[in-house]
Amino acid sequence: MREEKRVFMTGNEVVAWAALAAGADVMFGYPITPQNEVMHCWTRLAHKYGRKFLQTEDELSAGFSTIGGVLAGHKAFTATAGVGNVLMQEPMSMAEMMRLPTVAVVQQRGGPSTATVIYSQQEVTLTATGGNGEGLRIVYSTSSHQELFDYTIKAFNTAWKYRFPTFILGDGYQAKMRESLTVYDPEARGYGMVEPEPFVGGKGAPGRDRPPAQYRNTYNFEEELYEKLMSDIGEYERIAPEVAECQSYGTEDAELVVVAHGVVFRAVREAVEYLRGLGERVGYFRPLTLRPLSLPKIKELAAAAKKFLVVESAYGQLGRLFKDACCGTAAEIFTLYKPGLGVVADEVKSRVKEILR
Amino acid sequence: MCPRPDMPRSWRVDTKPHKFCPGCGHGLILKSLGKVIDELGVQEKVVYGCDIGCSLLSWDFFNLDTVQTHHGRTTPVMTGIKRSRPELICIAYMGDGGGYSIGVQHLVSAAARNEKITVVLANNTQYAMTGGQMAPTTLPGQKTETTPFGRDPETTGFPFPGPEMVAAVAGEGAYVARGSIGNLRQLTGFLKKALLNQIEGRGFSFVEVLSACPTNWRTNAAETWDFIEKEMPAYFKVGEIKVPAGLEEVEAGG
Repeated sequence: MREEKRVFMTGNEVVAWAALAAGADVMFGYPITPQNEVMHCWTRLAHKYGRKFLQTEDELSAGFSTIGGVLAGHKAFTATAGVGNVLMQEPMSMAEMMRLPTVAVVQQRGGPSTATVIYSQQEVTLTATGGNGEGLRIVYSTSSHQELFDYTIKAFNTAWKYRFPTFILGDGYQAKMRESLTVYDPEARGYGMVEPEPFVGGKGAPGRDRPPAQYRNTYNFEEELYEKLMSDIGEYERIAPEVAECQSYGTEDAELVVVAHGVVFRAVREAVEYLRGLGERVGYFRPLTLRPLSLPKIKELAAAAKKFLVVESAYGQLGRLFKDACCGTAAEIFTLYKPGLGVVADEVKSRVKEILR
Repeated sequence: MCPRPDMPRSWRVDTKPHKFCPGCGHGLILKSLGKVIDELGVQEKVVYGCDIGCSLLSWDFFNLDTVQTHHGRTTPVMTGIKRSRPELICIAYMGDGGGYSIGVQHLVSAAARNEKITVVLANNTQYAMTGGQMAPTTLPGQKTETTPFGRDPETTGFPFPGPEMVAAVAGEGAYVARGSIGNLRQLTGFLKKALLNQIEGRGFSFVEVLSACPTNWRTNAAETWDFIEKEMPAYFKVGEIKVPAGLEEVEAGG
């Protein structure tokens, strides 16, 4: 894939092509809708391009064997959704503890439990802060197939550069619909790809030529764990400004800023552009990373004491993250929450007009 | 100065004495494993994985690259490493709770896929690290913290036949055995075959080891050995269960 190409494909296929372009060596996966076609496409690409795949016995195994691949020094990834993502949290908490550069693609479906196989934005809390820890992960929320391609490639670099588990948070709509995008070889575009390195199985005899590489997630003393966690948290906070990404528009003069992520952002963008065309003082803010959030930008917007409208296909999962970031400001926050249901631009327009009236 | 006890070269001397309780079987199993790694000269290639539970105390036991994982999840971690780097020799070390209960799906599936890894499982008939609860391997009538009046097979089933199950699902080329800390020479031979089988790329290798937990059994030395040598083998038959062609003649090292 040396030459750039315009293609028209589903989001799941985009993920597989992006993983190939990023130089992923192996995928470990377990079937769950709506991510299945990531595996379907990857198995065919892997056969053609000499990469590997294993269908594991469950998502626990998919996550832990992804960890094994990473420990061996390979770019390994997995994809999951819904209750599969619930199981995935156990291995990802280990990746968090050991600072392992796993890459996981989550195509959100309805929740809780089995719910729908179709769509939601209800896996934000789980993906951003799941596991029995502090949520030291990086979560990209994409809103188009081009972003799905760009950010899946970027996720491998982010993971291997910063050594925090990295997630691409998509959803069933993005997974299943077809859209045009440009696929490319990142290196041909001059994007340097971070080379993976083995954590175990390096050169030389352990104990003789080098110390043995020994990774644990067990700690005997509170103080020992505290020291380790504060070091990781410090590192996470240090890199957060480099990693965090967001988009905003019209916020300079806006009376109301609409906040949304993922595919819902598309409806919000359309609504805001339309309303500004009519002279309404409205703007948008879109976090591209849900973990870490672009806190300085949010503080800056909130300091202007504006009104905000949080729109999402969940009942306040982005809302909680955003309110937490606004804490201590005079921001007035309105909501349009539709758990497990899509949002269209007209609904956003009506809600904005209602608030501004 | 005390004379240094005889330790395998692959052990990490600076982490000895080890962290296991007095009388625990883990030290003996890991000594046998260490001797085999020495004899085969594979220290540079081995990646050792241990579970949650008492086995995690071995995370710095060897001069080997080591990963300490979650309960029963050592099997998929070693699977991921082995599939990525087939030249490495991957050993998953776990207890009966990790292997036969919470992580049994990983053991069954790795065996069924004939993953080219070696799993060594210590069977001490209960959950030791968490304070002596019933395990799949608890003997009928045996008292544990969650069966204070003895395990009743009517409500909690019979002891879990791990190697027999693995042998039933594993394909051609798998090696399956049950050893005991009561016969270290035999155990060392089983472990050697289990590693050779992986090195020679035949298939899945699995060794269950009857092990002791005097702390939770609340037994003295004589009672501990009695349990290991008489009571446990009455349910868990010691010996080789599946031996692939080419491995029959291997002898335990000295």
